[in-house]
Amino acid sequence: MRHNRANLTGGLITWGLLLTVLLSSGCASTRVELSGDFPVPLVAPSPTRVAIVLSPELLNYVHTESIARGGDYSINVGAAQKLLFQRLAQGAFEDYELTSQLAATSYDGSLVPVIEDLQFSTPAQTRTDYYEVWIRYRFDIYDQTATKLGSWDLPAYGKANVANHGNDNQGLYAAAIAACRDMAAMFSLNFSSAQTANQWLQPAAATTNATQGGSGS
Amino acid sequence: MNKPIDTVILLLLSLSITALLSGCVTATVQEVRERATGIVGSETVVVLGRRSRPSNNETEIDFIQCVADNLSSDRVAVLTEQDFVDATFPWFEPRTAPVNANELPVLLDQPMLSERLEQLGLRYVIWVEGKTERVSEGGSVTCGMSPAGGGCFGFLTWENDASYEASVWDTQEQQAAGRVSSDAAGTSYMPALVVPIPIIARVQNSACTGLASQLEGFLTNS
Repeated sequence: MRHNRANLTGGLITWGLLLTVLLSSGCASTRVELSGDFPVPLVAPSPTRVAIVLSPELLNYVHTESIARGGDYSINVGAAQKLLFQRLAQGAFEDYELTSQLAATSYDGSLVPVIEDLQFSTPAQTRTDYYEVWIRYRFDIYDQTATKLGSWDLPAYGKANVANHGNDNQGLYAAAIAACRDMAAMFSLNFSSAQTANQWLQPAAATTNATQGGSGS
Repeated sequence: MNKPIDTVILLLLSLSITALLSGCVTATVQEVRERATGIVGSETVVVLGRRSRPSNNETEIDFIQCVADNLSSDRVAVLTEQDFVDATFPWFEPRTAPVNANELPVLLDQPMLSERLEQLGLRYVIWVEGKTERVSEGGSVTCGMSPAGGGCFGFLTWENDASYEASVWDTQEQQAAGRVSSDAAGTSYMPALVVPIPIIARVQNSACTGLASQLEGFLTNS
């Protein structure tokens, strides 16, 4: 009797495992988590001293999506944001600090990056050779008292050729990394000329010029 | 005692079979020189693939790597693509990279970039465009299995075409130095009589070695 019960339990476990394997193979999932380092931009740093607020929402940003006949996709871009903004700030600003909460600051002001949206496509969807990732960033700009001055929208784009990447995981990883680099590139080249940022940066630039002028005379 | 001889015979045999089983490839390499070139010991070159957004003709990363590896020699020092774009970030990213040589003077006016390129010893930037594609295919192979055994029967054929062009920019002269193009085409076969035997035409590899060899001659002016 005991022998029969053991057989029955063993059989149930085997059938359970088989059923799990069958069910999981029916809905393949793609999980991508960004990691690795980013280069420091080779640009003249802005004299503005800035507090960069990396909110928990940004650092934990994960895009999830289910595609009919494509399975479940999860792209964790939040994991890379801290290092991305650290490297960006190292090149783009003369002085900066990374904080997690917006508050009044002794720096010239605060910059709060937000990921508003992320979209992606695979070659199977678009019938092209490319994995593509679009990330819509918004930069909220605050003065020293944490009063909002305005925002700057920055769409970023990255693509990866299917010929260079063996599967969805590798392709979407490469495209998402390319989108992050695109954001850092466009930020470092265009931030100071964006209208809202320009108004914010001008007092700092004027102070620097005055200091340089004063010391020179 | 006979073991080393057996190994050599086996090696020669497998090399002969590999050579026999390679499909034929026809390759053409051409160059257009716009000005004199030359490279000295401390100067370097970089081979970059075009990755701009509208391009549907993005070059394979392994092709760029292949050209860089084949070009690298005692006479020509080659920087790796990833190290170069990281060292010059953000100036050679897909949306920011210069599209033609006319943009070089403005780009090299950036003092920090100019200083970095000097540190790297960069003399020539080589932009590669193009790709390898399958232009035709035909035939079929059917495979079956029975308790007595299994096997395949049929015949497959496909033709690949590789077309690449490398533009050489001279950072010292801040102008285009010329262009080198490499085209290759070849047909691969796979007859299957119980066991499929692929006879592959190495089209992309042929285009790569042809381009790298011509580029070396172009840069060293030999």
